[in-house]
Amino acid sequence: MSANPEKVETENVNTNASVDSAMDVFHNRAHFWGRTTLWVLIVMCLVPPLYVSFVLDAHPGWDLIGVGLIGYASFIGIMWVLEPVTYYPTLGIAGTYLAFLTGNIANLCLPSSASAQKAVGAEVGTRKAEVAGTFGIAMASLVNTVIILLTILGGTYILSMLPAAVEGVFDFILPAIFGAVLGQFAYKTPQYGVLAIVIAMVVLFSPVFEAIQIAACVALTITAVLFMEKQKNKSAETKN
Amino acid sequence: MGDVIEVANSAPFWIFAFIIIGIVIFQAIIFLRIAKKSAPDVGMTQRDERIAMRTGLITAIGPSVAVAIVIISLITILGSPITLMRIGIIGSAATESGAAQVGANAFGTELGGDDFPIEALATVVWTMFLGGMGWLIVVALFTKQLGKTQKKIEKNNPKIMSSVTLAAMLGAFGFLVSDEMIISINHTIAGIVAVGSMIGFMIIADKLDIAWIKEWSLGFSMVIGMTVAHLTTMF
Repeated sequence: MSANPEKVETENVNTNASVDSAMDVFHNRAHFWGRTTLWVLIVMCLVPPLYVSFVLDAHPGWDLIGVGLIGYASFIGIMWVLEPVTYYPTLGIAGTYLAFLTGNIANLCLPSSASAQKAVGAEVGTRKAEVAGTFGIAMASLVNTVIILLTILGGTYILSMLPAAVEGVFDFILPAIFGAVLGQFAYKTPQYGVLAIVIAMVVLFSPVFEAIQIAACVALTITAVLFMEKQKNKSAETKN
Repeated sequence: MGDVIEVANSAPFWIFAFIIIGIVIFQAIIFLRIAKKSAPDVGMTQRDERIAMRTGLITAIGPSVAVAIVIISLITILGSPITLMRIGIIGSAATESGAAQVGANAFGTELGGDDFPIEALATVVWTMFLGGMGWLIVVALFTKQLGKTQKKIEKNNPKIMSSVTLAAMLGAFGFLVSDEMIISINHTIAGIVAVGSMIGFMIIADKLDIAWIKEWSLGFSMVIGMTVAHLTTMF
């Protein structure tokens, strides 16, 4: 063991410059292929909606699409920017391209990257960790895709086999999934969860134009939560 | 919704789905090759490569299987190929079901409702695919600059950013669940039981420090909420 640190040190001194240029090559390749695959996917994401609108001749009108997109962007739009910024330092360049194409970043890609790094004894932030993490995330992406594919194919079959008595359960998918997601965000501060539901009920039963209801709820909840956080900070300060 | 589900399950959608899934698989393989080429330069042996890949694979199994319940439920409202396309790439089961409902609302109908023409499906599909593109475009355009942006946001009070994000999600899903809960007393029960179960699971996972409970909590809470609500319809 005593010889090890010395050995590592001399190795580092000798090869730093070449490792740097090797990492530049790695990053350049990652940028090239990451961007290429993302742009191809972006173009491909336009195909299904264009197909429904103009091949099946069921275009709903750009105004309705705009209403849908603005409603969704009112709460997801901030994630488009914030998630890449938040996860990029941990994922690295290659990991960012992989994770944001395949999805499931926090629950799948980050743990797979971290465990792959740990398994080969790479310390966080090193070049070795970046490459080891890339192996981990790429494998996670493959595993995830295969399992989703099997679930979809198997799930279609399972659903066709379900007895009618059980099918009634699926009438309640939407309140159950939306409720579960709300619980996920509310469990640390349940009072904010209650607040969100109260705001939503007020908006639903007041004459707010239906298309902007969700955006109104998001705006009101942000305002209320920021106000409550400020009050909390103030009372904490006066205590001190 | 019968006719529309048939359209959503038709061959062209399956072809689009397999192309999109193909892109994901292609990218993963390309990045494995890039990493393999650079591995010796950063001091990774071939054994290290195998260990890193195997560890990534094993770690991914749990979280991937955990979304299975949610995926099967989404099939019943969106059809198989659309579910495959949306869950196979960025965008989680939770955000996509939100997007679908927002799209349906924009058309003036509800997901799974009886009055659900193809134009409503079109609005849903546009909302989900354009909405999911946000991440892809930001990452494709700005990954080269991300390092700098992060420092800037950190300087501008990171706590406010996380509060705003949390509040935005609470506001959106608070609305989505409330909008469902006002349909019937059974829907109200489904929503409340799901919120309660999720909070329960998260608290247990934190207290006992068991990570896999968090992975399964969405699926479990959904099933509990759905089942309890369904049982209450029988009385």
